[in-house]
Amino acid sequence: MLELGSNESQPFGEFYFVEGDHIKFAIEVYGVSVSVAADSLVLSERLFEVADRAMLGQCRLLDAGSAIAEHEFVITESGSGNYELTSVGEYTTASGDLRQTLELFVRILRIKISQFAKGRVFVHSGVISWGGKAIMIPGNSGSGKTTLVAECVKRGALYFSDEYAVLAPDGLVHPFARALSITNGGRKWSEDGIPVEKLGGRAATEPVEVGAVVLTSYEPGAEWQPERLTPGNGIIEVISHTIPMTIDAEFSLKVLKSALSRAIILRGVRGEASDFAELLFSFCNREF
Amino acid sequence: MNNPQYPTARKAGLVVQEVPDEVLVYDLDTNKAHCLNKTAAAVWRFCDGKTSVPEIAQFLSSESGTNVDSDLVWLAIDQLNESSLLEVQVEPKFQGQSRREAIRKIGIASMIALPIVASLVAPKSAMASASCNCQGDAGTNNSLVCTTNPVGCPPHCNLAGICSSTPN
Repeated sequence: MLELGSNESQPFGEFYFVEGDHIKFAIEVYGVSVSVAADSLVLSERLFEVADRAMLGQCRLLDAGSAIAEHEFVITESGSGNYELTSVGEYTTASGDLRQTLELFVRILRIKISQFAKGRVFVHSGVISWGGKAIMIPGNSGSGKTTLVAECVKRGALYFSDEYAVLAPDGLVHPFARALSITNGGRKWSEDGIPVEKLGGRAATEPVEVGAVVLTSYEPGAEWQPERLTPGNGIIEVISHTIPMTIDAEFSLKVLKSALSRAIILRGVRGEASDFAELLFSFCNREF
Repeated sequence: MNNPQYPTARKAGLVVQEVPDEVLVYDLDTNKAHCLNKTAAAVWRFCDGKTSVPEIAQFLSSESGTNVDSDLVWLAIDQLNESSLLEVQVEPKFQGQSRREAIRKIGIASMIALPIVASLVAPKSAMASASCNCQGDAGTNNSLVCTTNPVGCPPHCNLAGICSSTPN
């Protein structure tokens, strides 16, 4: 394990250090410390840059000295322009060229942060706000939540995230306003997403309370006739999208209760995202 | 397996959280989440290993101000049992048709809500619900790779370019 400390006022060059054949640096984000080793300074700088961008500028560089990194990555060039990424203690994967390796690195990093974040519970969910309250749209990949979030922000909803609802113990949901991961021709490049401003929308900067949770999936021609769930039944549905649930169930459940016990929780299939967005806003205008 | 008249609520390995009129229970052993409605939660609360089923019915009667039959308590016990929320497994009193019949009869006669235990399994790995994306350089989906596969996403990319358990 690497010994770490913190200092956020100095540039990257002040924080990396050499260990064996590797250039190392360490970051802290959402209270999780991560060390990254690479076989060149250029690659190290690039890794920090993509990590910080993926975590929306919230990576704080740590200096060697006083704490222990909880997670470690090693990225090395394996010849012929290929790179090997190792998440120490877990697995190694040779993922090909630099771009693919960087994408894989930031995705695994983001997953780790979402699992182990201190004082926050990450729920896999799209989030927007309307009328000052958040609407959470939990769902797995491919459930259409990014499409729905995009339609909502085009119609004036404030953008929080197309990926995570970041819940705090006080029940508020915080923005994780990354560029939207819009599917294009069957290929998704999450790190080259579309900024919400390009959709004519705005990103939230402040946390808000959760007004509604919409458990829905797209079905061609479906009519929105939702069932309203009790808070308890709604929360157990959201549990299946709650990333740290199997790591810290007690904290996760407490935060879910705090965030969702007063929210309206609806479940049902929906038709086209554009039509549904209008229905959703009409509903919220009546209920919020 | 026995059929104790004195059921005991399981405590170990559970995370319990009360919400208005319901109790949420998360089973750390199975990663199952349960939601007990008010009646099921009340029965579970009385399952202390010292109180018999008829006595639980009596307590519920005095709490609710209406007559509660032992069969209603058994409906709750059966569901708590199936959800592994009792210390010792019991033989179910009502199963299949017999349970549907009991629910119909008790539902008509009862002034309080029938006990319900709703359950859902959380993904074994949080990664199963996290975004995983297909990527690759060639123009066909066959060359795409689900990039977070090492941490639990499905292994293939389907024709829609979405990570899937099957290739197409």
